[in-house]
Parts: sequence; structure tokens; C-alpha cells
Amino acid sequence: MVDRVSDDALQLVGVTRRFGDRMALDDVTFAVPAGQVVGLLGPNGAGKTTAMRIMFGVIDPDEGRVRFEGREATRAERARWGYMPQERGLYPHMRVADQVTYFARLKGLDRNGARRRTSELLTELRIEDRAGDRVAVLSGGQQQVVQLAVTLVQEPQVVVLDEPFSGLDPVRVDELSGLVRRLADEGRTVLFSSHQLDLVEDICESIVMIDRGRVVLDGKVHELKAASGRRELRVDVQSDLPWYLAIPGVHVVSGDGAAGAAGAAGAAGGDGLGLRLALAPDVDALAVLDVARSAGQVRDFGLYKPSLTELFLEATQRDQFDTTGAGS
Amino acid sequence: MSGWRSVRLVASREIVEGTRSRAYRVVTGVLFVVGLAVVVVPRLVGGDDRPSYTLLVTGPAPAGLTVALQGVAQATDFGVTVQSEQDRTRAEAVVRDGDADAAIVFDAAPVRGTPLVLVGDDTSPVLLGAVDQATRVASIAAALEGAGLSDREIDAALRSPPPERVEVADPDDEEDAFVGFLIAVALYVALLVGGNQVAQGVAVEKTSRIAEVLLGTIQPPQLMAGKIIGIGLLVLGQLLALALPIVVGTLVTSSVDLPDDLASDVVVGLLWFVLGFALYSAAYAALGALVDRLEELQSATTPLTILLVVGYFVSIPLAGQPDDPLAVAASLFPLTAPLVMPMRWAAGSASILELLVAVALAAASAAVLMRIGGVVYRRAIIRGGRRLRLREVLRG
Repeated sequence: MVDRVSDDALQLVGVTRRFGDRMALDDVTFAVPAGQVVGLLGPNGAGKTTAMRIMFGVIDPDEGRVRFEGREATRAERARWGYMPQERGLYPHMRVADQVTYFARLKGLDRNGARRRTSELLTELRIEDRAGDRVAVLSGGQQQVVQLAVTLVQEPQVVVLDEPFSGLDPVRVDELSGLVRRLADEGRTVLFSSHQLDLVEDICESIVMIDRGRVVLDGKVHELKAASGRRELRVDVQSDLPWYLAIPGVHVVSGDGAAGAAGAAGAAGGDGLGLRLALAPDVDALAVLDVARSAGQVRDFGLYKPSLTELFLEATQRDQFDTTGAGS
Repeated sequence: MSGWRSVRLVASREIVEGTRSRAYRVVTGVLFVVGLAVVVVPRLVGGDDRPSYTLLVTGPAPAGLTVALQGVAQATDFGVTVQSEQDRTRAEAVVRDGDADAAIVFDAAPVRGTPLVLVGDDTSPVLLGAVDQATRVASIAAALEGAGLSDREIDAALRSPPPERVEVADPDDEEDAFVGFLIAVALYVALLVGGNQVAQGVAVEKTSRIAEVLLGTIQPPQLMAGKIIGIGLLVLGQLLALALPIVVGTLVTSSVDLPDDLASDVVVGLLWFVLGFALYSAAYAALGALVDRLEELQSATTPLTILLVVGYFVSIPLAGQPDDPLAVAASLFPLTAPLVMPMRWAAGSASILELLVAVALAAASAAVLMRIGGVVYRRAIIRGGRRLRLREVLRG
């Protein structure tokens, strides 16, 4: 990770924050490189929102620093970043265009520039037909779009979105992830948080996982998966025989029907689900394939990559991912 | 971006959105109408209070008579309508019937002869005095004309300015006390409404998480100051809508039906609104920032409401006795001064020194409250999840 530090746009360094006697963040250090979509993941109450608020200076850390492009982030700099909080932060009775223009002006645009940019952005986000409506009469999805407009109106170098996918239908998740991708492709620094690890699995390139105020995992998704201690195979063989039982260093994770009970029933046969086999570190996956082929026709064979939830459980040595509560 | 620019943007948003609301426009319009009514109605009503008489004239009246009559009537504050009648007989009949109050009969022959005055049962002595004076003036005019003076010279001789009147009696205490009472009521309502609007606005921003977005961009003191200034100006605008017609009306018309110093009373009242709002608004903002749900707002702001109500209930019964020690104390104590001092000032009970001391005390307290309120606001505005207590927030 040393090679990354030089072009890391945004860094939290040794950030600690307590609320009373509760430790919200405990020596948190991570970096968000420009041009990548980074997910800040963890269960509710892990400290994601607190970390984001500290980035923006909404609250101050007890210890630690926020750095941007290699130096301490200044207040003026942070004021121009785009932050979308988890819950809607809009004036319900204010009109859409007025609202976006207002935030643009607070972020330093002059009157005409703010108006021009607002109308461009509303058109780009395809909500220009509601420009004169009060926010309160819009649907939840439309309000989210307005919120996004408020976040992006000043064309921020840094975009931080707190739980942006929460409560969206799959179509909107798709739309929003496309937009997030585009923002990163434009070279911006993009960070979003989520407690729904599997929902955002395909959206982020890199992740920072935090749990109980500590970073438990940090890196590119494919590297983390590859580095995972888990080595598992997905195998579907047309055979009634428990062929896998004979291989040393291999045991069944799931899929043999009788849950490893001598494999007699042959449930692995035609149900299409196949087997999941865990391999000991010294077992060659291709040797397993050879044994499978000798047992029957192989319909599916592949390396099983652990899900983000599984990575989280592995990193925290827990057996259940707890997303209690709907809020932060 | 400079801090002042942010404050201005926040304040102007408050003003634009505030003036867009129908409630604000309606209330402001009503206040303006009330202000106008205060000036206009007494004049309309006062016109009816003046006695008015009808006077008949028969025969060759001297030329200046009617003008002289109107002049006297104006000086003694009554109205007179002069009508000519054919002859004495008919004039007698009309006066007897009560359709006219009196008649002046000039004989045809002697130009300088004394005219007759026909009076009824209860002809007003005021009218008779005026008739007497007017006929004398008319005779003098005729004599001057006979002496060869031109019309203009006669006019100049007769039209000497009326003597200036100086009131040496006590000013009307009751009226002044009433003005003080009205000013105290207006300030009470303005501070209560304005304060609650600040608290409400802060709570809306906190509970809807707008504060979180805003505070990523601007500083808490800027947001708080902008809100207070914006709402303060909105309420001040409403007070001006009420006060401006009164001040302008009193200055321009100098109507006898309004106290002379009404304009200065109103100006002092407006000054106290600014001071009182500076005192209370930061505290309202701080308490508004403590809530987690809007429903908690009313109970959160109760302590301030109680303070205002105390000021109100001290100033109202004491409006008639502004020299009472309790009223004097309450007019100097910063938290009640914004209501009680303008009342005492209007009642003519407070000296300029007392006023200045009260202003200084209130301004100093406002500065302190702004500081404390700013700290509470800054700490509480982003701490959600439950209703906060003032003490825990102050502790850190």
C-alpha cells in the first residue's frame, strides 16, 4: 500500500473520537485515492458517519488529522467538497432550483454562476421539470436526486456520500452507481458508505471496512478476496459418488445434501447447486478437478470468491453480520 | 469564502423565504393597516366631536363678515355654516323652529348701524361670542374702507396671526401610559414570535439534517448569526409596517388627538426590539438546537417564554404606575428591560440616564448570551439521537 500514498487524495490519519465514554473512532487511518470508487463499509454504529463528519470538519476529532493531497486539509478546501448525509438534508418548503442555487452560492459561486450551474445540473440529472416545485411535494427518489444536485453543484473535487444506496430500488441503485462511477472516472475522489455489504459488492473498487470504530480491512476488493485465507471451490459434478471424500485436505462447506454424512444420498447429483469445498493451503485446486473429472462430467468448476460479508466476518472473527437498526 | 458573505447568504435566504410565505404577508399587511388606523381614525372621529352651528344672515352684510366668522370659529374649534335669508321675518321663523342657531339682521339703511342678532332658546354662548366678534371685525373693515384703505390693506390689518398657545398643564398621563402599554404589548408579541421562529428554524435545520450539509460548508456561528439577523429583520419589518404610519403620521400632521412624543416613544420601542431580540434570539437558537424532534421544541423553549411572560406581566399592570419600584427595577434588569423600559419611557417616567443604563446593561447581557448561546448551538446542532440537556452541552 506504500505505493498508493503518494497519489492518495484524501486521508484520515490516526483519527480518534469519543462521545462521552463511547469510543466512536479508535485510531482510524485510511486513504481514498482519486479516480477510484471507495466504499466505507461496516455495520450500523461502526463509526462511518462520524468518520465522514470529521472529514468535513462538521465535528472535530479528539486526535488525528484529515489530509488532502499530501497536506492538512484546510477549512476553505473542505467547504467546497460535496457531502451527502444519510438522511435528506433539504428545506422542505424551499423550491428545488432555489435550494440548489443557495447551496451553490454558499460554496462560493456568484449569483449568475450558481443559477447557470443549477439549471445545467438539474437538466443533467433529469429533474429540471420540477425546478419550481417545493421539495416537500417531490417523491423520495426525486428528493434524493435534489440532494445529489446540492452535493454536486459546485463540481467538488471530493464527493462523500453517506449511505446513498440505502432504501433505493434496484433500478435507482444502478443509476446512482453509474453516476458514482462517472464521478470517479472524471478524476474525483469518491467515497460512499454502506451497511449493506452485498448490495454494493459490485460498485466499489476499494473498500475500507470498519467495525466498532476500528479499521478491520482496507484495500482493493479483488486483492482482498485473493488474499483471504479462505480457499474454496465451486464444483458441480454429475455423479452420485462422494468422490471428494477421498481427497486429503478438502472438506465440504455446503452442497452435499446430508451435510457431510458419508455422502451416501448423492444429493450432489442433479440439483444444480453443486458443492462448495474448502481447501487446505497445500491442496492444488487442479488436482481436485482431476479427481472430479474421473468421477463424472464436470458441469461447473471455479474458485469461489468470498463475499464482502464473509470477508468482514473473517476479519472480525464473528459468525454473524449484525445490521441492527435502520438508522446510522 | 469570507464569513460575512455566508452570514449574508443565510440571512437573505431567511428573508426571501419568509417574505414568500402568505402568513407573513397577511400579518404585515394587517399591521400596516392598524398603524394607519391609529393615525387616521382619531382624525375622522375627532371631526365629529366639534360642535357645528348654522347661522343666518339677512340684509347687506359687510363684505368681510363670513371670513371673519370662519376665522373665529376655527380659533375656538367649532364649525359654522353661514346661510343668507330673505328678511327678518323668515329668519325669525327658521331660528324659532330650531333649523338655525341664530340670525344676524343688518338693516338696509344705516351702513354703520349695529346689526340685530336673533337667538333661539339655547343658542350657544360660544356662537354668540363669535358673532359678536365677527360683526365688530366686519364694522372695522367697513370703517377702514370708508377711510380709503384698499382691500389688500384692510386684509393685512385684520389678518394678524393668532397668538401662540403654550400648554402649561400636566401632560396627559393616562394617554402616555396607554401608549406605553401598547408598545410593551407589541414588543412582547414581536420578541415571542421572533424568538420562537429562530428556535423553530434551528430545530428544523437540525432535525432535517440540513445543518449537517450546511456545516460541511459554513461555520456554526455564521449559520446562527445569519438566521438571527434574517428573522430579526423580518420581524423588524413587521414592526416598521405598524410603526411607520404612526411616526410619519404624527410628525406630518401633528394631530392634536395623538400624544406629541408618540414618534419618539415608537423609535425607542424599536430600539428596544433590536436589543431584546439580540438578548433572546441567541438563547432561543441554543435551546432550539437541543431538540431531537420538532415536537420537543415547545417544552425546550419554555424557560425563555416564561421570562418574556414575566416581563409582560410586570409591565402591563404597572403601565399606570411607571414609578413603582418594581417597575423601575424591572426596567433596568436586562431580561425584562426590553418590555418594561419602553413602557416607562413612553409613560414619561424614565430619565434619559435610566434609559442609557438599561441599554448598556441589556447590550452587555446580549453579548454574553450570544457567546453562551453560540457555544451551546455549535455543540448541540450536530448531536442527534435524543433530546439534549443544557447542562450536559455546556459541560462539553
